[in-house]
This record gives sequence, C-alpha cells and structure tokens, in this order.
Amino acid sequence: MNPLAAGILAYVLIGLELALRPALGLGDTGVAPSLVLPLVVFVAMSAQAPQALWMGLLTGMAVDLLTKFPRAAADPITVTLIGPNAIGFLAAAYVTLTLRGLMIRRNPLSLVALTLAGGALAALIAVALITLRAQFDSAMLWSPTRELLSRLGWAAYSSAVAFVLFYVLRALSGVLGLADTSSRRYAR
Amino acid sequence: MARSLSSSRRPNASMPVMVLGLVLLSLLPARWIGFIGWFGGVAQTLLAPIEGPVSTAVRSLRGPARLDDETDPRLREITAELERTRLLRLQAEDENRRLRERIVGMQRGIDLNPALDIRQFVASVINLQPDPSGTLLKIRAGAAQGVTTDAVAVFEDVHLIGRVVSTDNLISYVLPIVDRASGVQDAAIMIDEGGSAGEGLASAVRCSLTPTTEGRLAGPVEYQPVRPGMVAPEIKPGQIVRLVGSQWPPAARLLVVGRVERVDMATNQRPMVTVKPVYDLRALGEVIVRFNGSPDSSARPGGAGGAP
Repeated sequence: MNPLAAGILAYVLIGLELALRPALGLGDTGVAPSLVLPLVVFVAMSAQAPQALWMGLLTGMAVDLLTKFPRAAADPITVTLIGPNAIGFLAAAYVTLTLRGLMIRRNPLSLVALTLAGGALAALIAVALITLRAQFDSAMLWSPTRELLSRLGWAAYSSAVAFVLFYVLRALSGVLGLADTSSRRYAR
Repeated sequence: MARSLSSSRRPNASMPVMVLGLVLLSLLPARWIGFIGWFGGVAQTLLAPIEGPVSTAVRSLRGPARLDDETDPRLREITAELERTRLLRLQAEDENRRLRERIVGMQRGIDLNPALDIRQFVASVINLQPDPSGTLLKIRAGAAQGVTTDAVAVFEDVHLIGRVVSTDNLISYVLPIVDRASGVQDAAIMIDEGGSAGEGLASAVRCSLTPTTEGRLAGPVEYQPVRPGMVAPEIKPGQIVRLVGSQWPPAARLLVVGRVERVDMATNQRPMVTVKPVYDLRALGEVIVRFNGSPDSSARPGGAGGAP
C-alpha cells in the first residue's frame, strides 16, 4: 500500500464527508454516511495487516479529533474524546482482515458486507467506550440505546454508499498500491 | 501459508500500547484532556480547503430549508420582514419595561443592570461534525473576531439557532437550541403576535421547553389563572414561540425559537406543546453571531462558558 496516497485520499474523503453530511443526512434522524469507513475497509481487504490496522486507527483518530461532545452545565462545556472512533475503526479493519479470505474482492457487495460488519462493530465499540465514560462523567449527555441505534443506521447507510464508492476506490487502487495482480476474473 | 498469514497479520508492539493509551485517554476526566481540543483545531484547519468550498457549493444548491410549509418566496420575504419588525417592537417593549424597573431600582439606590451593548456580524457555517453523535454546528468566526461563549447564533435576524459553547481562534462551535445539552428553556407562546403594542408579551403564555430527540422542543404550559370575565388564551399550532428565559445571554432574549407544531393534553389536564424550529439548521449557509460587546462580559474564549 502507498501510505501517502491512502492518507491523501482519506483526507479528501473526510472533507467530502463533512461537506456532504447536511445533503446526505436522513431527515430528522441526522444519520449520514461515512465515506472514510468504506476506504478503511477497502484498504483492509487488500493491504498487509499492519498497514490496514494503522490506517483504521489513524483515520478513526482523525474523526475523533473533529468531534466535540457537548456537556451539560459543566466546565469545560465541550470535550474532544480521542479513542472511541479510533478503536472502532481499528476493529473495523481487523474484522475485515479476518473475513477477507471469505470474500470476492472484485465484487462490490463484498465491500458493502464488510463495511456493514465493520461499521456495526465500530459503532458498538464507540458506544461502549463513551457509555463507560458517561458512568463517571455525569455531565456527558449520553443515551446508549439511542446512540447505538443511530450508529447502526450510520453503518448501514455507509455500507450502501460503499457500493458506489467501490468503483471509485477500485479505479484508484493502482495509485493506492492495492492493485489486484491476479489475472483470474473471480480471483479472491 | 499459515505462518506467512499469521506473521503478516501481526502489527508491531506499538499498536497495543497505542490502543491502551487511547482507551485511557477516552476515559480521563474532561479537564485533563483539554489539550486534545488544540489538535482538533489543527485538524479542522487542515480540512478547511476541501470542506469549505464543497460545503458552500452544496448549501448554495439546496438553499435554507424552512421546516414549515411556506413555499412562496415572496410571501416568505414579507413574513421575514414582518418577523423582524415584530422582534424590534417586542424588544423595545421589553427594554421599556426593563428601564422602568431600572428607574425604580435606581430610585432605591440600586443599579440593577449595565446597559447592553449588542454587537453582531455574519459568519458562514462550516458544517456539522463527522461523528454520528456530533451535533455541534461549526461556524467560521472565532476568538480572533471577538466571539465569546456568551454569543448566540441567529438566522434572518430573528430565528434563534443556538449558543456558542466553544471558540478556537478562527472557528466557533454552536450548540443548537434543539440539542439535549441546551437544557430547559423558558419560552413564551405569542397568543397575539400581531396585536397592538403592549399586548404581544402581556398576552403571551409561558412554557418550559426541553429538547426532544426529533429536533423539536416540548414541554408543559404554565398554569394561567383565568379571572372572571377573562377569556382563556387559546394555544394552537402555528403560533410563534419566543425565548424569554434568563438562562441564555441577553442577546438571545425574545428571539424566535420556532412555531407550535402540536398541542397535547397531559394527564393533569395541562397543555403540553411541541415546538418546531422554522429552519433546518443543517441547511444553513450562514448565521448572524450576536454577542454582548461590553468589556465587562464575563464569558471568555476557549470553551469554558457558563452553565446552559
């Protein structure tokens, strides 16, 4: 994998994700897709394990850094948590590494299924970590059930977007250093 | 094969240490991890070249999305002008009342309130946050422009969007009024919004609103004793709701919170209102930041504002 190209692509996708979030959000639910999660999964489908895991961790850290959580009647009134998404995205990369042997890499549905699985696991981990924190930080306004449902919706929506994104990522796989060298049409 | 797979899957030793460190960081008290916000500001700045232009293009295509049914642009313009005029009138009435009280106070030798010096300017909305739970609105105005944590964000001069809860040098974060962290808001349902001067606020019905999960505010209406010969105020959908509580900065007083969407009866026969904001904050391209410009403002930049 070419780390520089992957980093630049992640940077562009996070920027696009933020910019398109109001347009792609689902009504009052506020559920919007992640564009960077399919990238993490796509990389993990082809790259070496350490590279895939670091990609997941660093991308999740970037998402964490860009999020402030409001706190009720407390000082400081907002907090930036680094960890929930970083570990969640790391887990998404890991689950992809574990399952990729069972998938057909050329099939866009593989990316869809792995994004759904990875996203659901990332959601579960992020909610578990923040819920644990909320146990002793009473100023955190956190409803685990609602957040988990919202994040599972996010994982499902992201996996749907992954179908479209697959063709873009596949076209860029040469630049990313993830080109499939196999000549077989249905190669794994 | 198995050996090569297992060795290719093994990351170096720094990964577990990193994960452990991140778990600890995400559990530490908020005061101890305040420094992470600085890195967040840097990440935000780095993303601005991509996020800004695309976001502006997307919003210009969509336009501000009103959440009510008004679609005629000319009528919308007239309504907006009318709402601005009403706000000015109500604020003048409120100021009159406040000054009268102040005169009484000064006659007793007490200076009740310093004069308000409200400043405002237009700031473009950058966006929401990437985390699914992120609800704060980012705006392109920060401590460098004098924005402090007692500033409020409004749209079209009269519609309250939220309150600034954190400021970096060039960016501020607005807590939307419909966010659960905003807490309970004291508001007034304007029964006679278009009535003659003096009747507007006098006939308003007070209520305590709490944000709901659907981007609305809901709460009970205060008990109104009906004297003989007096007609009980009728609360109905469409009526304007304005902020009157003292929990918010003075610059937010009497701004429009939204319109009554639904009136239900609670088990104790007290009306419960659901209020819907007029604009969808996710579709706003710019907001007006309004804050107290007096030097004795108690708020300070950096996100350490007072309680909501």
